[in-house]
Order: sequence, then C-alpha cells, then structure tokens
Amino acid sequence: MKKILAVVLVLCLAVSLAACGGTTGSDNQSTQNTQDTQNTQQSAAADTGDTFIIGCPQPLTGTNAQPGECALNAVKLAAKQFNENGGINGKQVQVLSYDDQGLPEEAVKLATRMVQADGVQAIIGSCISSCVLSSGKIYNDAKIPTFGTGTSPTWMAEGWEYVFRACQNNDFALPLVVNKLKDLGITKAAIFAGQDDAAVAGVNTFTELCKEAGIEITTSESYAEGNTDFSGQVAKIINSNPQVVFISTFGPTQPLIAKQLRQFGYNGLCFTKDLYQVDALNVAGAASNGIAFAYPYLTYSSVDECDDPFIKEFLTAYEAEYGTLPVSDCAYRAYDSMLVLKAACEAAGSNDGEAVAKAVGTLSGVQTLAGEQDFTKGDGEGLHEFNIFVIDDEKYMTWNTWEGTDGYQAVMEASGLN
Amino acid sequence: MFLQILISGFVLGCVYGLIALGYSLIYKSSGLMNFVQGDVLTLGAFLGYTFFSLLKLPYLVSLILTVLVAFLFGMAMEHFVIGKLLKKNVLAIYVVLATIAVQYILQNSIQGIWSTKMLSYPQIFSVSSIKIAGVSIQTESVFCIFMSFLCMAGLQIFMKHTRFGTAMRASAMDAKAAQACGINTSLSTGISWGIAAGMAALAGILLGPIYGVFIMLGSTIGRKGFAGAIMGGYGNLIGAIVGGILLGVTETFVAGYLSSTYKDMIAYALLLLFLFVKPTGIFNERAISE
Repeated sequence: MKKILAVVLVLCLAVSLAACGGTTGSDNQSTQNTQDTQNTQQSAAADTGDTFIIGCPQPLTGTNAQPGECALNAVKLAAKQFNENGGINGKQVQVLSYDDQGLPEEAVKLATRMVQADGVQAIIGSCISSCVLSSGKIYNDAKIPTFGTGTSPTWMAEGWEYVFRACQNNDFALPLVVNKLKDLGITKAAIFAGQDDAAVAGVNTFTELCKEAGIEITTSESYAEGNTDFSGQVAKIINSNPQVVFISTFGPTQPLIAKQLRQFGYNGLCFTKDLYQVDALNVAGAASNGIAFAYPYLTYSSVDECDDPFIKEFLTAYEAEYGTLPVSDCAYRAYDSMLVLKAACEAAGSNDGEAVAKAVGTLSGVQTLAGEQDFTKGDGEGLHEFNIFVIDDEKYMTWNTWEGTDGYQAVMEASGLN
Repeated sequence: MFLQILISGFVLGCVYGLIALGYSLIYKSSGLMNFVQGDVLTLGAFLGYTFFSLLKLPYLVSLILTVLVAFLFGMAMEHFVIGKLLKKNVLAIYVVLATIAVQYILQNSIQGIWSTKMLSYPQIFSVSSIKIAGVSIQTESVFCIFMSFLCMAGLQIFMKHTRFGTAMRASAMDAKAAQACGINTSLSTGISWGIAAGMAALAGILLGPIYGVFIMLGSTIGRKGFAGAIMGGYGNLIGAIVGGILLGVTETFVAGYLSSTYKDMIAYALLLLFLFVKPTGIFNERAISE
C-alpha cells in the first residue's frame, strides 16, 4: 500500500511540475489565461509586423511580488504612453508579462520561452538580480536588447553585449557609503544580509571596501528568505558593539530588521544596500529613523511629497492608471529602462536587436527618473552618481540636510561618535 | 544577551505553537493533516488589517471578526473540499494534496484581494513595550504569548472536558462507531477545521502589528508550526505549544550563539532527530506510529 501511495504522490508531483514547466510558471490560472491570450495576440501582431514586443519577466507571486508588480505596472504605463505618442519608431509597443516568481530556474524557463516561442524583441528584465543572472546569457545569445532591473553588480560583470542597466549598480553606490563611514570616523561595522544574489554581492563589496578603509566587520549575520524573526542575529550584532549596521536586504525584511534592531536597543546609524522603501518606512515608523542609503531617487506616500517635476509627472500618471502610487522603486527602475530602450531604438532608427544594442552605447543625457543617464562609458550602465538619503522623524531627507539636526546628534551619539 | 534571546525565542515559539495547535487539533479530531494553516495566518493578518485599520473597528472586535471569518473559511474548506474527498473514500494523501492546492489558491486570492503591498497596523496598546528582567518586549508580543497559552488551555478543556470535544475525539478514533452513537461526525470535523483556521487567523492578527502584513507572512511560520507540532507530539495540544516554543528558542539560540546561516538547517535537523529518535514527540503522542 505504501508503495502505491508513493507512486501516486510522485505521479501527482510530476504532473504538477510538468504543468508548471509548460506555462508561465505562475500559480495563478488567470495569469496563465492572460498570458495565452496575449501570446495569441502577439502571434497575430508579429504576422503583420505592426508591433514591438517587449517581454517583462518579474516576480508576480511570492515574497517579491510587490516590487515585481510595481515594475510590471511601470513598464505597461510607459508602453501606453509611448503608444499614445506613436509608439517606438512607428511600431505599437506590446508588453508580454511573465511571472518568474523570483526564482532563477523559473527565469531560465521563461527566457527560453520568450526567445524560442513568443518572438520577444526586447526585455525589461527581472528586479531580482539572480533571475537576470541566470537568464541573461539566453537573451544575449539571442541578441535581444535586455535591461535588467536588479541592482547587483554580478550580472553586468558577465560582460554580455546585449544586457544593460538603467538603474543603480550597488557596487557604484557602496564606495560612497563607505567613504561616508570613514569621514564619520567609524571603525566598527556589523552586517545583516539576505542570501540572494544582490544581498550577497552587496555584502562582499561592502566588506572589501571596509577592509580597504580600515573598518572592522564585527559580525556578519544572514537570514533565510521568509523568516520574520531575527532576534538571534540582532542580539549577536548588538553584542558585537558596532558603530554602524549595514543591512543588505530587500522587500518585507527591511522594516522587520529595523524594528527588531531598535527594539533590542540599537539606536545607532544603519545603512541599507539600496533604497529603504516607503512602505518599509510606514510599517517600521520611528524605528526607521537613522537609516541611510545611497540611491538615485526616493519612493513617496503621496505625489505632493515629491518635489522632482519629472518623478512627479510619472507618479501622477501611475496613480491615475493604477489608483495607487508605486511602493517600490522597482517601478522607477523599469520605467527608466523603458525610456532608455525607446531612446536607443530612436537613435538606431530601427527596432532591430543588434542596431538597438549598438545604439545604447552611444546614449548620453537621456532624461530619466534617476536623472540623466550616460551609457558612453562602455560598461553598459547608465547611472554612475548617487545621493545619500537618510530617514529622520519618519521622513526622507538628504544627508547634508540631516547633519546638525537633533536627530543626527542623537544617532551619532548612539553610534558612539560624539 | 542570553535573557534577550531566551525571551525572543519564547515569543517566536508561542507563535509557532499557536499554528501547531491548529495542526494538532485537526489531527486529534479528524486524523487528517492540513497545510493551509500558514496561509490562513496571512489571511487573518489581512482581515485584521481590514477590520482594524480600514474599517476602524476596535481591536477586540476586529480580532473576533477575524477569527469568525477564518472559522467559517475552515468550515467551508472542510465541507466543500475535504468532506467531499472523504466521502469518496480517498486515501489520506489526497486530502493532504488537496490542502496544498487550497494553500496556493488562498495565497493567490489574498494577493488578488489585497494586492502585494506591505501594510501596517496602527499601534494597538498605549504602551509600546514592557520590560521583563531588564529586557524590552513589544506589548503585542506579550499579548501574543498570553493568547497562545489561553488558546492551549481553552482547547485542552474543550477537547477533554466537554461533550462536543469528546464527540470530536470519538469521531477521529472511529467515525462509524461515533455515528452509531449519534454523533454528527461531519459537523464535529467541520468545527475542528474551523477552530484550527480561527487560531491561525488569530496568530495573524496578533502578528500583524509586530511584523507588518504581507502575502508571505505565514508561509515560513506555517512550516515551522508544523515542525513544532511534531516535536511536541503530533495531535497533542499541550505538546503543540511546548514543541513550538522548543523550536523557537532553539533557532533563536542557534542564530545568537552559533550561526545565523545555519539556523533553519539546525532547527529542521532537530525535527529529523525527533522523527528518528522519538516520533511520538515530547508528550509521547502516538499519532505518528498510528
């Protein structure tokens, strides 16, 4: 009986896996249906040559569904705006969405499908770096211009000719962070990090830079995705007596670690590897004070909070389209990627993959949410300069504005720097 | 540091225990396993957010409504999915697979209804933290511990000292004999699934103010709760809380004193150890050998 049971179980699993393998990999049947409809439309469109098909694999289910959804929304918004203004090089833009679930193996399956079956002509890649890393070679080999939206340095280090980035590379921002720590006279730092590609890469770079700057890493703690309690790690971090805590995480973990650090009594300075999201700020509240990061832009709770006219325009359009503001900067990353892709297509005078990829390298002064992007340095990256922001009194501000305030004094004192 | 870790592990363990109670209750009353518990926790957190933060109902009312809705969900799940399968006399493994299917459906439905946003509760108690032996603990965490033990005691009394609880246990032992004695086995099974779902949702509304609300909130906690239930003795209600606490304290101490990287590995290795050395758990519940 047990053997029969085992066989039945294995068969059930095999059938379910096979079913997943043949689809988008989404658990959501409606996503699957939408996808099939889209693909039918795409095939018809491809026949007439009227459209420019952009594939957008993002994590739409699972832990990172929130940033993935924001990124996809932004890509669709950009496509709509382009289409209202004549499309790209006269072709209407069509976005095909895919759920990579934030899983590298899923990203590979989807990439194969996009390249071999769906006739995708450009990619706005996942906001999960490990997914871009696993699938980038497939896009590159197929000569499809791809803009990854993850912030890890790893996938751009592969040197793929057809893969670009129009958002932050954490490796470019972290030197700014470590220089700031050095200026403050910090000599001891602790690390709290996830185990995904971007988090690990952030830790490696930070550790290396600290070593060069003479900053001792007192302890380096990690957590598994999905965990919500970090008491043991926090206790160990505090016990190591650091002057700053470097937090290399993403998504829902940001407010959890902020709250637990403060609850355990650490009130000193923290740096996150990239943007500390506005929803994290809403969840963690005052525990977010004293958390800083180097980044090109911020997310907002309302359009009125934003004083950058270009970002404001984007937020207004996003809110009008989806009834809410993007809570993750992945929307900004994806939107900027679309702007750069359009600029490259127009510079190339065609939507042909090879021509577009060549044109990307000639772009400079492309106006995006992150400011002007310059791809002429030959590294495939558009952004090379960032600002340091900090949270004080549950609000974002620039580091320069923060210096000298009561909040600054309190955090520096708690970090033992006064 | 020792005391801080101990207390934190205890708080975490009580959360696992609350989930483990649901697993054990279902096993005790119907002899089945239900893997939806973690996602019902997430549902509870979102329901609580809706009642408390959006509809501005008092926290206690929100808590009761949340538990009630989850209770109905559990009953409905038993009636429309589990009960139907059982009537077909399917193998128990099919029921387990059905609960896994419901888990994914629920997860995606929650995402569809509330979106992927991370949400936050306003502060529930006027005092944000309480000091115990010099260690600061969030008031909501203390409330969580209190509710875990209250649920454990309440369920223990309900199952052992009430007619309905006895009927539920009788249904699990021998459904046909119980029916012959006039027990409505279908109702008793449905209620046990409802109570289990209610407790998971209770954990959700208790955890919401501590961790925030997001779609994967209950996924890992659900798994850990299951492990806690096994360690305590699968089907034993006191064992569920004790097993949960043992797991919570163990993993927190591992992270604090050994390695955070291998925290989960060591916690699950402990589960394996129990399965090999003492499958009946701390309280010698004979569920596994049955």
